[in-house]
Amino acid sequence: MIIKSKLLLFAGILSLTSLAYQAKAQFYVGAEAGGNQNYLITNVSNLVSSEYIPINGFNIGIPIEYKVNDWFSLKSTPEFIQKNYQLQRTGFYQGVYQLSKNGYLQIPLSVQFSFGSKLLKGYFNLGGYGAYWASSHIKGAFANPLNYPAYGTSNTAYYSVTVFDYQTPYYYDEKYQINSTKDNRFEFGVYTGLGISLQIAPDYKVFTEFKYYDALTDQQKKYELEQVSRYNETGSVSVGFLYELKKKLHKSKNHSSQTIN
Amino acid sequence: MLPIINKRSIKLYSTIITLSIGIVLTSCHKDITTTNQLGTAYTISYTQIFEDFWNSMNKTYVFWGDDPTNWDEMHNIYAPKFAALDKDSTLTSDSINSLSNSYFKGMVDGLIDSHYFLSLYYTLYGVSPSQDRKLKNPAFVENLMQTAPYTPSVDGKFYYTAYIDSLYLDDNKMVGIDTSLTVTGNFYAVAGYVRNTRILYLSFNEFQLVTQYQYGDSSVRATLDYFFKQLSNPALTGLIIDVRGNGGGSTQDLNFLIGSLISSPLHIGYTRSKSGSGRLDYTPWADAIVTPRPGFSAFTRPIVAMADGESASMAELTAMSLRAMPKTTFVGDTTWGANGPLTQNVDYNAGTFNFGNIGTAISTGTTYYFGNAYTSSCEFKYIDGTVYEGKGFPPNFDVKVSLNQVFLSNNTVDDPQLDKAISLLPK
Repeated sequence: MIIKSKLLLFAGILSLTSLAYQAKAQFYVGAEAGGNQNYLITNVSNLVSSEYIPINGFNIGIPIEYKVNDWFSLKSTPEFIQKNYQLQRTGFYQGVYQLSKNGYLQIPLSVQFSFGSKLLKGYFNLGGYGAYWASSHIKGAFANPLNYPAYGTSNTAYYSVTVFDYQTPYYYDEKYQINSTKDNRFEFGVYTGLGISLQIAPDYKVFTEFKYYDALTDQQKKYELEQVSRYNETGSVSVGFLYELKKKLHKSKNHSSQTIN
Repeated sequence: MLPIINKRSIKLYSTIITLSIGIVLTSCHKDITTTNQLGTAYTISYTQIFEDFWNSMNKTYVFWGDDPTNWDEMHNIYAPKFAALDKDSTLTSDSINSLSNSYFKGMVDGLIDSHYFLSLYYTLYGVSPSQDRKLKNPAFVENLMQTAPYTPSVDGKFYYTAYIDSLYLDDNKMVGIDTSLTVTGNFYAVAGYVRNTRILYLSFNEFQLVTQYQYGDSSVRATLDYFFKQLSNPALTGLIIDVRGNGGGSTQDLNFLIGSLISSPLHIGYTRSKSGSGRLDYTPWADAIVTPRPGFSAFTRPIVAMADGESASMAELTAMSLRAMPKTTFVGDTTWGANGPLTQNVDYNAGTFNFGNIGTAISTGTTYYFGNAYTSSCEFKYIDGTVYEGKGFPPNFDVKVSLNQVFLSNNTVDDPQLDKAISLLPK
């Protein structure tokens, strides 16, 4: 229900853009890159000495802006974004962990409201996104139940401080095999962003932007009763540039006309 | 500079920004609930006990990736039945207990975990799904021996241990018996050469070799030392390790026994456990390795591993480990099918658990539970890529026995499976 109302609101905001459409729109395209931190929102209170911690990642994208007027634009940044997290154990089980690095192909779509001078503008984005979980890599360690030190050479500590003082760790660093029964590869959510852009040349502007992505869909398919949901929440900081295509397109059009003539 | 935002725009901004902040803030508050840690939920009704058991199984049972049981369907079927036990005032206490027992049995009957044992303390009832399945099979060795004229064994393990030494082994054989350490019966080990051959034979009834070697009766240590010493005998032509009727024990015995036969690490399979509370949250498969014992060389002569339907857990892993060696043949019968290692639940957040917390005694601090599920913490997959849990490991030579073959007319016993094993080795 919450998801539905938010999607309706998002659709409403998009519809505003059509009302605001003006003939003198400008079209920008560019590149951006940045870092992010992803939080897996779930509940592991039933697991002993276990916690999820946020992990940093990166994102690269191609921002596309359709500027309707000085204060209103449509913006989308198709991007590759990592949404990483780590499940780790604490106390006696310290050292047992699994780091998950997940790559998503993501397409956000937002409305952007700008303010400020022609040279320096601040802006605010609001929109939604859809993402496809394209890749996953896991790295970690756990106590191997069937790999003891050779008999007579046990390294068992008299006072075991952690589990690895008396059990051999198994370290792994491998591609995660997506489980089609469990794993939901499609993610949808809302996002908001705050940024500053600087017009450095008639056709170029550079920007830096903070974005916050909030998934509204579970990382897992609904495959069991009493399922504990897992959601990604990602904050990213990006820098990039935008290049205005409109003038070039016009120039190109004029040039073509001249050639024909 | 011209104003680029008019009053109308400001109003629009304010509305949108307010809505946006509202969206983000409400999105942050996701209501995600889970169950309490195992055994901590206080239960005062059959409905609560059922939910505690169902959820604990759902989150910590390690075989959901392979088990055919539809656990959601178990919830759909049994939740209303347990709820009825709370509501039906016409039921007597005995009938409630009886119904409760049957419901729990119905839920777990198809589980493949062949270590699985459900103890219902409150009603003094226990369920072993694998045992129940085997007792329905007339060819199962335990069923077969129920009609035997006598039980030719001091430890109840049929004819494999107590009589084998006198019938098959020469006079230099060693026998070790310990009566002090085990809670499941005496420990018994025998090692010696098969009469008129240079085939070395070893059998023992439980996997507590390391413990017995270090702390048990001196006769056990002497027997095992004799066996290890004979491994380097140049006249030796073959080896039989017989774990028939052996119900398993400590996994540390793998390196102690199999480690004395190899000179480089032996890869026998893989293990995995849970990596989260989701039913299908698994760790990757970790290599299961037997590590050589310092001071021992690789055993290069032929080996016969012997196991049967009563060989469980470590006995199966031993047969599998021997079979992973290049010159080993497995003779006997398909094993029990309980391969998953066990440890305390907290180690992997998987495995054995108590359920149905029915209160804590103030005077002693002891917490009492409705029941306990004894179950593996890890899943084992053999080197051939097969999970034999619930199926049993099949022999190369499946030698079925009948009472007529075992109990001979001259009031002695024969061992057709051992006869086959001896026939496969050079004399």
